[in-house]
Amino acid sequence: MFEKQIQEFEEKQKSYAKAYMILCLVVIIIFGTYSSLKIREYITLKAGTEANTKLISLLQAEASTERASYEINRKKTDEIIEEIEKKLETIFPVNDDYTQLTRQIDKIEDQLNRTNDPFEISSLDYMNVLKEGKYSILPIRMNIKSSGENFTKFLHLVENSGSLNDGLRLMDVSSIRLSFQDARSPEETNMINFSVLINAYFQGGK
Amino acid sequence: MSDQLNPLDFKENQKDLENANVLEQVVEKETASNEEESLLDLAPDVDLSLLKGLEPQKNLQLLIFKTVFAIILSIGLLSIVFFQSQLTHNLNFITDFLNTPHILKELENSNLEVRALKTDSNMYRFLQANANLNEITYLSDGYMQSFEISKSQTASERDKTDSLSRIENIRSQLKPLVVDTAKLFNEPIFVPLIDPNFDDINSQQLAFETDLKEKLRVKGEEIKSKDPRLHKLHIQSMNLVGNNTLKTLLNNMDVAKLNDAELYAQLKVLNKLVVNDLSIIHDIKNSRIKWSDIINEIDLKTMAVDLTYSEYFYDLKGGIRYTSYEFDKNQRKISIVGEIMRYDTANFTMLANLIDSFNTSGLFGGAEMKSFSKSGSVEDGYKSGVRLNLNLFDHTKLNLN
Repeated sequence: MFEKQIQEFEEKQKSYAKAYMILCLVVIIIFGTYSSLKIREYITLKAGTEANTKLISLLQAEASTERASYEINRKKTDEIIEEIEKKLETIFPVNDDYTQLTRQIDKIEDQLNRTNDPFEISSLDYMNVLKEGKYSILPIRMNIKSSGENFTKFLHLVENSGSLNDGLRLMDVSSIRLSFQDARSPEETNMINFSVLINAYFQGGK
Repeated sequence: MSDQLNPLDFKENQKDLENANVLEQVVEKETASNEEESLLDLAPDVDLSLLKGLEPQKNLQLLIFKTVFAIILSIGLLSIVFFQSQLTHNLNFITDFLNTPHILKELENSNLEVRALKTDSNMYRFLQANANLNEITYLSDGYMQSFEISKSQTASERDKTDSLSRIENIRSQLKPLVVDTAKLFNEPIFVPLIDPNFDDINSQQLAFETDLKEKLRVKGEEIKSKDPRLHKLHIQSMNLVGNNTLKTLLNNMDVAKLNDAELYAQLKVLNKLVVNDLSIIHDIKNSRIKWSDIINEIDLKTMAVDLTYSEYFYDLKGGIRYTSYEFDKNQRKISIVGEIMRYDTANFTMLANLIDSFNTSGLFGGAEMKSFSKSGSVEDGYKSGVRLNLNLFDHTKLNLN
């Protein structure tokens, strides 16, 4: 009886030993796989850190070079921007600046009007300001009597206005109504009465 | 019974029988006394409970496997703890407590440093690029005006000649600027990093771009009151970050090889892509209508029908005369009112020719008039009214070549 129990116990121990052996193998496989995956990750991170150390010194040099280059050109940049801003004050002012615009229009009239080739602005009416998305518009209704040639010159000036080089206020023609005078002579045929609606632009929208 | 024929034998046998009975009685007597008193005691009972405390001889194999298992498990758990503490932030308290290196933290810190330095470098590069673009748009303003004058149907020859020489001058200034700016844009905006927070290169690039925008914004805000101009430069530069269309345009803009019209078209696109003080002006200019060209086109199309149109021959020979034009930019409409006078009776033909002529224009179309009438006489001439409405085409799509 007792011997039988001993025998059973020994057999049990043998089976336990087998089970432990299997467990050992399973655990080795699990931890082995986990560790091999993680060690690669670790090595990658380590390599990344080492690479960054070298990169940092390179980037420090690069940043200081870029900064130096920018600082060298800074004066020129400031001058250009200042020049643009100054010119913009005339061609695209911060407010409607209708008095300055009036002077400019008068100057155009003076420039174009000749005894034998007239260009006369008979009326100038500033209308209510319209606010668009990024800018505002000052509409101007003008009644002009002019020769065909002067009329074209006037249109050219308005069409090319707003250039930084000319300093003429940024404008465009919204509508033109021309009426040709009933001519009695060839000279008079060239005279045109036109009512023109011009938009003068300035900064500050809605 | 046949063998017991001798009586003596029988007697002897009788004696033996008596002796046997005596023995039998003794045995019986002995046996009877044996029933009360045994010679050996009964076998003792085994107390199995005593065996419980006793361990049988241990299996060496089991002992070894148990130990190995325990060692492997411990090493495995330690490796989990190690890798978790190094590759994640889950066990930061251990590395903090032991004051040991933390590889992930080290990498993240160095990545942050790399990003900060690269962003610094990017910031100065983009500020410089923006400064260059300001200069390019400034020059392009003059270039575009000169080009438009040179291509105008109504500008004087002198103006055209001046414009052409200005174009060449500006072109020479633009050339190195465009090359330099393209170079600045071509510099990589990011460096590839080993960073578990990013899935791919694109997300890394996006992170560097976000860093740069934020840096420009923060730096711009810092100097807002001190230096408004520089503040504006910083804010404008933000719009250049990630602007690949602009980068491609600059790379393809070979100023030396492009003809005037091609350069004009490319500068127009560039002005749309760049946001600076001149952007709004360029937008407004692009929406303007060249009325002088429209009027000239009306004259040319009329002359194709009435060869004496531009001269003072209306009363003498008849022809076409306009009494008013109306141009409306918002409606994109042109209304022409006038009359046709003929000393023959071909008023309607001339009017039909005029409609067809207008409809061949590249600037406007849609001329239509379906009611014809005339009055007068051969001596005084026949007069017909002209009232035409024309639709303006989208001039931004017209080719200026």
